[in-house]
Amino acid sequence: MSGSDLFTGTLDLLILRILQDEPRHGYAVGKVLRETSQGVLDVEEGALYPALHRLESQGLATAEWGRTDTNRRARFYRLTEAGRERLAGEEERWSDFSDAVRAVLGGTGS
Amino acid sequence: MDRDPADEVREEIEFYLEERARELEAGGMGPAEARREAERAFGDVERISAETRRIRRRRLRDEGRRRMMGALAQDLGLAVRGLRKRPGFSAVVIGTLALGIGAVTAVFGVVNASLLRALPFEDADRLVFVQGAYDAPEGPVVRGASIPEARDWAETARSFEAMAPVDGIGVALTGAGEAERIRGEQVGAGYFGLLRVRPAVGRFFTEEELSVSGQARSVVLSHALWQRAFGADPSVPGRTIALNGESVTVVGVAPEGFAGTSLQAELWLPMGNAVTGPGEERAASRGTRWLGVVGRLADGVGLEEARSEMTGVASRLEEAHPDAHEDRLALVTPMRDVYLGSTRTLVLVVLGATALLLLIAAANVANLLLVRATGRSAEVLMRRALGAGRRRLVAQFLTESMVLAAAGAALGLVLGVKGADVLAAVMPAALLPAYVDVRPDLSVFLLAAVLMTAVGVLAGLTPALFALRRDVASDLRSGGGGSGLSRLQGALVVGEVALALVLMVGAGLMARSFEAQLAVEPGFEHEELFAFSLQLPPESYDGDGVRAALQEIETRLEAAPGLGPVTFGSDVPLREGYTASYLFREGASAEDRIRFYVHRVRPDWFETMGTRIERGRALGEADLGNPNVTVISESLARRFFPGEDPVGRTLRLFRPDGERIEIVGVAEDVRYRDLTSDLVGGADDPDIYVLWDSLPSRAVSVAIRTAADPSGVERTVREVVGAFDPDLPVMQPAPLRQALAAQTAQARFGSTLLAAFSLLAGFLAVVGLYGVLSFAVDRRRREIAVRMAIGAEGGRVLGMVVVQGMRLVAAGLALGLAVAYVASRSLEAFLFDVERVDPATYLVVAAVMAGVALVAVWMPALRATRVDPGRTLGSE
Repeated sequence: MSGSDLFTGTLDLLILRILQDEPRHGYAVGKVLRETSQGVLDVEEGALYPALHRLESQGLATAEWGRTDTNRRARFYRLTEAGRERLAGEEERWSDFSDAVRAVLGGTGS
Repeated sequence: MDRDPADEVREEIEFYLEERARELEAGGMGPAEARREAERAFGDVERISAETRRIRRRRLRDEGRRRMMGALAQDLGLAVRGLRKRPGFSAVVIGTLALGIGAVTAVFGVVNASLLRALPFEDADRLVFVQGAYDAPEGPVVRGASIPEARDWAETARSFEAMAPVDGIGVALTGAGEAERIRGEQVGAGYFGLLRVRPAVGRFFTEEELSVSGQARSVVLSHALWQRAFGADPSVPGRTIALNGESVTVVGVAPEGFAGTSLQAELWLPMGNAVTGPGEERAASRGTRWLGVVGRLADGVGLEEARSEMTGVASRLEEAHPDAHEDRLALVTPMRDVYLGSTRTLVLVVLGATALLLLIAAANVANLLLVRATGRSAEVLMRRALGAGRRRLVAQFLTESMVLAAAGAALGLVLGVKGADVLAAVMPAALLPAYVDVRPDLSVFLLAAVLMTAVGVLAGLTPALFALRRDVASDLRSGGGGSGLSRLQGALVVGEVALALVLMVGAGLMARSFEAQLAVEPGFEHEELFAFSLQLPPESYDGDGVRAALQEIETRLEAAPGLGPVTFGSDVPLREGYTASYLFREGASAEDRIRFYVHRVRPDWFETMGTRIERGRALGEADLGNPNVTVISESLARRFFPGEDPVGRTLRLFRPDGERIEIVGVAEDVRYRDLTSDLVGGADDPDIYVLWDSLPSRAVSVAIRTAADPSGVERTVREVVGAFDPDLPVMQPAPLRQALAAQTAQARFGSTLLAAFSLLAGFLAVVGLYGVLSFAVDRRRREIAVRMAIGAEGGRVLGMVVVQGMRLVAAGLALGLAVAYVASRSLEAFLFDVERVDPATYLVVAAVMAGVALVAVWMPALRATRVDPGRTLGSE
């Protein structure tokens, strides 16, 4: 996992996952995160923005200004090829990790 | 174009907050409350904004850097590829640059080693020589100090931390390996201390040894001599050696690398030594002046302060001792100036010449690049059409020229380092003091880098400027208009011709000066004379024994195969150690004294040496019983007996009522001390000759008339002397012409180098002229074709091009002559018998340059006449 902080690593990964389907602006990403990730952003919703810019810096995502469907100006983020590859790699590792955890915990929980 | 990251981040976060607030409103909150809640949920807006901005800024910076590196890499790649596609062009440019940069680097290597690097003494910039001088009408003449004088200086002067007398000596070393002649120094109290050296082994001298008792028998060896003669034996203190036959004890060894203030001393004796020491009488005499004095300025004292103090000291001494110290000065000169003398100026002048050469080379390169740029005009236009910014274009041209400059500088550096070695090797030893070591250090590399950058930028700006001109397109179509040459190209050529002319004038002046020096009659047969010195030790030879021994040696030498007549005397010309004194005309008063040099010679001296007798007769066998005859030099006759015949007149030696001697002959002037001083005008003192036999001396110089090869002669001499007395070393064996060559060394060196550089410069300038005119003819092809089509004859066209070219040359010549007039001032010190504005030199040089330029102009002009109007116009 990239990043020394497990939290930021997780957040980055989740954002990549969310962007996988379609380009979104920051608010949309945040909304999905709040609805699906059970508390990742509870402490600070704004932590989203450094994460997005970091991903852009690392070349895993690109961004450009565009218009929302309500015709407001927003910055849209989109996965790059490198981003997709990173996501695929990380997902594989996650699945190995959770297999290991499941094995250790002896199958309790799903 | 990215906007300010701060604005963008702010807008982005603002968007989030607004949407979040709207979401909360939809859930029932009021607008203000919703907004507050949105902000609270967001977290610390300020902190997060700042962090986000930071991330963004860093990204933009990295991206920008990468783009620039990419552009640079692209330009480099393009440049290298472009240059490889035109190997001829690249080779010429790189070669020209290497020549210019190499020349400057080579001479700078010598300048650095001799002028800039530290002398081999601790805190050497505080060290000076205090020189005793005589205030002559033409300026101070350095003569050496007397022992009492040096003592007075040391005792009264407060500007100095310490002063110590020092004198160079040469002694015969026996008892430690083969008999050798060793150079050394005899030194007074404080010498080693003020030079901050400590003994490597043993000790230096005690106060008693240094006092002038004439009894001390201690010697300090140099590190090198210690290794050579004693195998670096650490128990050497206490061992004895023989110097000039006298037994002395080694008391210590100097540290490695120390060679005294003469820079070549291998041993040191205290001033009170029994071997070469002055002895009580001579040491007390204020009239015997032979010492050098080295001093260290006191902390915080400047050179000027020390100088004015010593002026005061000297005048107080003159008051106290009006006879002995009349017109005496005490000059304070930094050590380096004494070592280098006028070589400093000479080397700087040569450096200046190489700088001019480099400028010419750079101008040629600029012209070449410009020509190439106009050839690529189509490419440039296209690039501009495609939107390449002006800055990118300039960057591309500069990259190209920097690549060329870097290659030229690298090659030039190699040439320069090797060249400095070669220069130092061929520079006569007389010019470069022993401490000079031209190994390159950081400053040489730095210089090369600076030159490379300067030349690369300057030369590269020319095509860059061209590329930036807006009317490139129309310029192309019209074929350059007017002269086909941009004003810049014309100016460059004029500049080159001018600079080359300056160099050539300098070379011409130096050459004529050198010629004049060579033409000076030395007064003796310099081609066929070989000389060496002997010192007969008192234990082996008593009074009469000296004469008998020398005559025996003379006889044996004359009998040896290949050697002609042999004679000997107190000294031979152009070596050191002459004796000077005063004489008076009959009836003259004490103020009317004449300073002169006396030479004790054998009767056959004049004949063997080839010195002509102008009037009267030479000294002969018949005079052997009569010590009171003399032959005087021509300049003495002219100065002090103008218009009369001095033969038969008498002179008084040393005092107005002193020993009387009769003049029996006048000999031509012999150049004993240097070639160029004015003997008649009084800058140097005249010579007289008396018979050696009337007061035989133990130290003599033997002169042999021989046409044989010097190394063979030396071998024979050593054999003969060795067979006579194996413990008698042969000192300074050398042909006299060697010393003569050393005299003209400076002039020879200077004129050779300047000649070489000026030829190079002329060549480059002429090549540049040719290139530029060819280019102009090419550009004007259409115009020429039109002219020919409407009936102009080939001759008219030829004339047109020639006039265009020669107009540039004329401007260059005029500018060059003017600059040369000013610049020749730097050569004044080196010019002998030539005015710095010598009209003949200037005219000849200008004429030669004009002639060669005409040839360079003629060829493209001829080409112009061969333009085929039909083809040229038809193809447009």
